[in-house]
Amino acid sequence: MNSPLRGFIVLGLLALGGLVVFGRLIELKVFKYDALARCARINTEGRLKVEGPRGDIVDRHGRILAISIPTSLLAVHPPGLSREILRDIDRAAGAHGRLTNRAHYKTWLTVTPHCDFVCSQKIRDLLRTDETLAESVRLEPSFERRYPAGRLASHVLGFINDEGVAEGIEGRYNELLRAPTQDLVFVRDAKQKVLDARRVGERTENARSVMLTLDLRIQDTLESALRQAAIHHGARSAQGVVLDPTNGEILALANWPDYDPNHFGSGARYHRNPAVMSSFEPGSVIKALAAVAVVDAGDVDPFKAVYCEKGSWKSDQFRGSIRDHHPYEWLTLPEVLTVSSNIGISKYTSMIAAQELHQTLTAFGIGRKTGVDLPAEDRGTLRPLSKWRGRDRFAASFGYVMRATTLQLATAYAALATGGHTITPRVARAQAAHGRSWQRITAPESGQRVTSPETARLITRWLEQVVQSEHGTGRAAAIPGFLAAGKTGTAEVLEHGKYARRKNISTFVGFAPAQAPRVVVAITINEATKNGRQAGSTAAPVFAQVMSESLRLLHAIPGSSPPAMAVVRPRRTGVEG
Amino acid sequence: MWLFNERSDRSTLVHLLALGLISLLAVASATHSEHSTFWGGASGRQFIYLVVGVVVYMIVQRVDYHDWAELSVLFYAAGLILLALLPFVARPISGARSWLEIGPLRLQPSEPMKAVVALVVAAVLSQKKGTLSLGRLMQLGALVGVPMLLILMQPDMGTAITFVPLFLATAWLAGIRPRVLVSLALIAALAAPIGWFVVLKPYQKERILTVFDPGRDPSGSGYQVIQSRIAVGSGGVAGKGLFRGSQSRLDFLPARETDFIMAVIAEENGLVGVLVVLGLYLSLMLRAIQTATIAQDRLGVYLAAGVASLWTGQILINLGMVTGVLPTIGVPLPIVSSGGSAIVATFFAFGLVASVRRGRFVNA
Repeated sequence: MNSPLRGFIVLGLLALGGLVVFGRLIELKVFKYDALARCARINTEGRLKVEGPRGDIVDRHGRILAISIPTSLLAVHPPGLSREILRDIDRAAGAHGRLTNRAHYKTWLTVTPHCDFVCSQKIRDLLRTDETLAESVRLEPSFERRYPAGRLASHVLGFINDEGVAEGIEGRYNELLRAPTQDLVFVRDAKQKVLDARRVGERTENARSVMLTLDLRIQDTLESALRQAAIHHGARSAQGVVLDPTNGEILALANWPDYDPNHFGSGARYHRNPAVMSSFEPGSVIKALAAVAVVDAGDVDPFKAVYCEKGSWKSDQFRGSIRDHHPYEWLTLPEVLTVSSNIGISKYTSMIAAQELHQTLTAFGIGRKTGVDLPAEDRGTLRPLSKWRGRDRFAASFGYVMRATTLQLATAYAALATGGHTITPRVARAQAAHGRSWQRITAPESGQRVTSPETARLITRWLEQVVQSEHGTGRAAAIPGFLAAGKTGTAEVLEHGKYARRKNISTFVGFAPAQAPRVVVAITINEATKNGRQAGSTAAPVFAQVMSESLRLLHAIPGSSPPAMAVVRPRRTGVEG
Repeated sequence: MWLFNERSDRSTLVHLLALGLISLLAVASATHSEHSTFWGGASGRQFIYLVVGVVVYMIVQRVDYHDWAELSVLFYAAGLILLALLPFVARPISGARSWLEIGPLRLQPSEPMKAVVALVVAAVLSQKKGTLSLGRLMQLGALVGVPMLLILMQPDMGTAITFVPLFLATAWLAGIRPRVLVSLALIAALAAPIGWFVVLKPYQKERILTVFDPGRDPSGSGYQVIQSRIAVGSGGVAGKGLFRGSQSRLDFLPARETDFIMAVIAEENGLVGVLVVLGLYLSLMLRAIQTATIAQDRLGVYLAAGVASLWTGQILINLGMVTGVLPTIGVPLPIVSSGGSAIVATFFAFGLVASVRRGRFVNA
């Protein structure tokens, strides 16, 4: 082999080596550029989200329900700190060893997002002892959510945890309430020493405050009434809704047991909002809607009495029997409502088409979401007409083969109170940017007409009798100075496919003043165990208590009912505050 | 000026100075901090090394390379003695006894030994013509192998390995038979497992394994590879700007002013900066190879070719290391990496090549 050739082979090999290196350079710098540039950023930049205050939540009169108070975020970078210092910080922040257990971490740790005044004062004292500590310990302004009213309205408000998971209004209107955020970027060297800390990026839009339709005083009335009744009757739970039928605004919505959103962690099993999220078979309160169906059908005379079989009706149309609590013989439709006869309402609805009953129930919102602005609403159920078998069409007339929430019942009765218009219940009334005036969140939807004003007036008259008549099941719902209209319902609880006779859900839904309704109240007491279990003795007294107090707080004048029938009151347009 | 006249190789010096200038900027950027000044830190020292290097270059190129060849045995013997002394007199610095410390001066004998071995190999090979006999091959092997072994024992695997391209290239050019080369390759292949299990230390094996999978130990031996790749890649085509490389400025890249200086250039000056440096090296090496082709005698050919192959090998190994295609074995980038011994040795070696180039004008 001659020398020039040998020389070229050496050159060729070196050139090959050069090509490999060059190719690799192109690969890293061109094809892997994005990934490697990101790696470089991760190396040097630590990001911490800095939050401004979340929006306030206030009741309809501007009373604070949720507010963000200034506090400090305490972040620590363990590598630069001695074990003793870490222990001191852990103690000052009340971290219970969360920090000392992570002393080996090499990243920035958030010791607590809420280092309060005492805590931050201790940290500042500590930082004063040694200037170099400031590189590894940082206090950044932050905010902590507080609910000054404590348990009041807890189920409506919900809460937001440190991960930003929210329930209730906090969740539903998170977009408005959301705290403005900005990234705090730490530039660090390889030893994690912070060289520079700066805020980058646009601060997101400031949070807006939300005004609720709730009236804190009515809410308080409702909650204490529910609590007293539930304890008095040894009930498992209780729910209540107070709403303004003229515009659908919910004045109070409560469940017992409740929880304190300031310490939401300890009441986790009560976070659910059953008044909106849990449906049940409503029982006799549905008879009022069945009566609407009978009247609207037009060819049945409600004053022509039906025979009530002395308390137990067997028929070849269904298996088993339909029973009443007390034996009755001949009852007109108003009387059926007054004494709450299952046989009576069954016989009246048997005179109309099952389809008409089904249509009326659907129109009043049974089996449909009310559209309330609270999360996870239960739509309830109404068995489809095609699946009604045997007894079902009778059972439907006194509130079985369907499920409804307490809020749905209130909404259905609100349609009677308005003279035949449906309403959409709302909890949020208005929103406002900081220092600006309130703006309505959504205009109230114009309701659907579900029955004629005449029918609504007629049924209301009959429901007055439930409360007024000496035979009425709802006598305990009577309130001094006002005429109330309403209906009791005591449904047996379906357990393992059988109705448990000793487990009741008792309900009272009604409105007042009957002639010009300003408030609808629905009360549900679950599984009362003592001092009476029927709605007349459990739910009705709570209704009376809540209704009379609500009317007082709304400045309704006793006995001022206009002689004429309630017409739909003109809607309020402006929002004060 | 009699030292540097019209027969001196200006182009090589210009290349070396250009690389030296780049080196000053890169070292300054890599070692810059609030408390350091340009002259007070590594960049100031680098400037002094470059000045010394230029002086050495001037002298070496002015002297006839035949005279250097005569002296080569002396240099070689002195080098061997220094290398042999190191284990007894040197203080271990990051695990290796590679540095002689005389007052404030620190000398790494293995660096000038590269040039000396290239010189002595050329001197020995030029004595006889014809194909390389087995005896002379073994002689060559011993000449390269003994210093290599001494350097390996420091231990400094990187410097030791740079002798391999020199040995192979010169043996090949001296006419080693292809089948002998194949036999050598076979022996090396057979010896590889022994090397893996007996010679290599666990940390060295880790470094080899991390070439294939840097993620296997991201905070240990893989750290250097990963950080270097991030530095090279994140610089992209245009670079982050001089003194703006986050990887190097914020201490993420170890050994950045020495072995990994190319990662700093790649991060701050991008592909453009890298291409400028590579272009300078390419042109420098092509000139050395050209010198080999026009040299007036065999000594000149072997000397120029030996220097070209050794230094090209070193550059390729360094770049392979920085880009993560070769294990991290500690080979500096000639001229650009900070370090006096290596710079002076490089100026010395290219002074020899320049002397060869100058020699063709001599009518002897």
